[in-house]
Amino acid sequence: MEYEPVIGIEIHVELKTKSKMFSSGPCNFGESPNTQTVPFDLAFPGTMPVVNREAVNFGIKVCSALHMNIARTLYFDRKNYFYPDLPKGYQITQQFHPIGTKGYVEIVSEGEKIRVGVDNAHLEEDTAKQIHLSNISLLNFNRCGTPLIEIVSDPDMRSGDQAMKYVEAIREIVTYLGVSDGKMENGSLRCDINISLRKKGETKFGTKAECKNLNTIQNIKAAVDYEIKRQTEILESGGKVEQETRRYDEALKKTVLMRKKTDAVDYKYFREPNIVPIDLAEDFIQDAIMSMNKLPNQYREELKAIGLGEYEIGELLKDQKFTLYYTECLSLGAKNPTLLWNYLMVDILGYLNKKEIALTDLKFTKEQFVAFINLLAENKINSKQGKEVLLKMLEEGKDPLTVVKEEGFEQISDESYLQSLVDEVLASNNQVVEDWKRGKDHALGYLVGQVMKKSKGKANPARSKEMILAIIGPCGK
Amino acid sequence: MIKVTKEVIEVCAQNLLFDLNPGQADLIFEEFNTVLAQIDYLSHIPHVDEVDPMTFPYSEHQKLMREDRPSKPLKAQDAVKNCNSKLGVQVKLPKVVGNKNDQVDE
Repeated sequence: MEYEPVIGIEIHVELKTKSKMFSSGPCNFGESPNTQTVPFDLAFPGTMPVVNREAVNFGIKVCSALHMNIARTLYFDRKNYFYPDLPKGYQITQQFHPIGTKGYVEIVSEGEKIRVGVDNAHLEEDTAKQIHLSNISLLNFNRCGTPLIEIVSDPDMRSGDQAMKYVEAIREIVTYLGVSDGKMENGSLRCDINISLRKKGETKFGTKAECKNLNTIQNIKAAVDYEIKRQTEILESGGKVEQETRRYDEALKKTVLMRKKTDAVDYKYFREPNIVPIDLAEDFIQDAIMSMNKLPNQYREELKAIGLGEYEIGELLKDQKFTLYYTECLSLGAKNPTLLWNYLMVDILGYLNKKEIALTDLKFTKEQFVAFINLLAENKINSKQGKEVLLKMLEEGKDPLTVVKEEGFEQISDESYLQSLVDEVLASNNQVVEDWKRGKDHALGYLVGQVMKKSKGKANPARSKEMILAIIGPCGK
Repeated sequence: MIKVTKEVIEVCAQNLLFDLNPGQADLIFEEFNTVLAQIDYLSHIPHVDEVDPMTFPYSEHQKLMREDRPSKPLKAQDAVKNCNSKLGVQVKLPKVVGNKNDQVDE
C-alpha cells in the first residue's frame, strides 16, 4: 500500500517590537527573570489591553509578503485555558478575524517549485516561560505578552524536505522584513508540525500527530521524515495511528511521545470585550506595505539573473547582512559576481568566524573591497597575490591599491615583455617542450611556472599560458 | 455544563494561584448563583441561541493604537510580591510536566 504524507505547519513568530502586544512592558530577550513586566503582563486586576501599533504594522508586512488578504478592521478574541504560563487565564488572539487570510509561499524542494498555501496569520501574545527543574517548575514572566504572529499553513506539504523549505522560507521572509530575528534556538520562531498519512488517492485526512520542540531547521526535516516512517510502519502492520503530541529528541534522532490527545480542548473563545474593534486606515496599511524591505525571492531572481548558482544564492540569502553587503558591492561596480561571492563567502566569512567578529567590524570599506575584487577581475593581480592583499586589508585595514604598490604586486600584461620571458623559458626547456609534444600535459604548468618565476610572480599567468600554447601547439596525446 | 459548586470555585482559585478563605468562596458561590440564574432566565427566551453574542452595547470602532514605547518595568521583587510560593524572584510551582523528557515550551 502506498501512503501519502500530509503536513501542515503552525509557526509562531515573535515580533521585534520594543514593547509588548497589549502593554508597554519592554520586550528584551535574555534579561534577568521577571524584570521585564508591567502590571498588565501579570494580569493585575484593573489593567486593560491596548494594541501596539508597531506590532500591527509588522503584521501587515508579513501578510503582504505572504500574498494575503489584509483585514481592514482588527478584532481580538479570548482563548480560555488554565495553565501556569498564562496569568490571565486566557490568551488574547485573533481566532475569528485574523489580520491575514488566504496567502501562499513559494518554495523549491528537490528541484521542484511548490506553492504552499497559508490559511491565515493572526496576532496574539506570548506566554510566560517555564523552566522545569527536577521536581519543581519556575515561572519567568518576561516573555509574557510579547507580540506574536502565528502563521498557519494549509496541509499542502508532502515531505520532510518540503516542510523544512517552508519553515526556512518563512524564517527568511520575517528576518528580511526586519520584523523578527527568527532565531529558532532562542524560541523567537517556533513551529508545531501536524503530520498524517492517507492512502494515495484518498482525500480524507488520516489521524495526525503533532510534533513540537523543533529548534533547528534541520530538525524539521529529520522529525518529519522519522514521523512518516513511524506512521507508515504502524499502518503497514495493520495498526492505527493515534492522535498524540510528540517531540523530536535530537540525541535519539526520533520523535517521542509527550502526551496522547483525547477530545479537542474547548477553549471557549469569545470576543475580547476590552478591545473595541480597530479600523485600520488605508494609508496606515499602504505605508506598511510601501516601507517593506526587499524579500529573499526578489534577491533570488536578481542574483540568478547575474549568473550566480543555486548553491551560492542559497548560502548568501541565509544571512541578510551578507546579502546586503554583496548587492551593495555589485552596485558599487564589482566586476565579477563569482569572484565577489568567493572572497566574501569563503575568505571574509572564514576570517570573521575565526576572529568572532561581525561584518560591520571589517577594517576596510565596501569601496575598497570592490577595488580589490576588480584588481583580480582585471587580472592586475593573481589569486595568490590576492590572498596576501586581502590579509593586509583584513588585518591592517589597508587600501588594496596601496598594498599592491607597496608589495610590487602589479601584474605585468605587457605583451612584448611577456613574449621575451616566454621565448627565454622555451629556449631553455627543450626537453619539457618535447615531453608536452609526446603527451605529458603537466609540462604546460611547469612552463607557465617558469615564466612566473622569471617575472617574480608578476606576469599575467593566463596571458603567459596563451602565448606558450601559441608556440608549442596542442598536447601530443 | 459544569455545575458550579464551592469545590469548583476552590479548584479554579487554586489553578489561578489565588488564595480564597471560606468566606470569600461563599461570596463568589452566591454571586455565581445570581449570574447563573440570570443566564438560565435568558436561555428560556425563544430562539436566543440563534442570536450572535453582542460584546459591545453598540457598534463602536476606534482607530487609535498605542505607540511602541516601552515603559519602566516593575522590579522583579515587586512583580512577585503577592506570590506565596517562589524561588528567588521566580514563581515556584509543582512540576507541571510528567518527566524530564517533557521539558517542552508550550
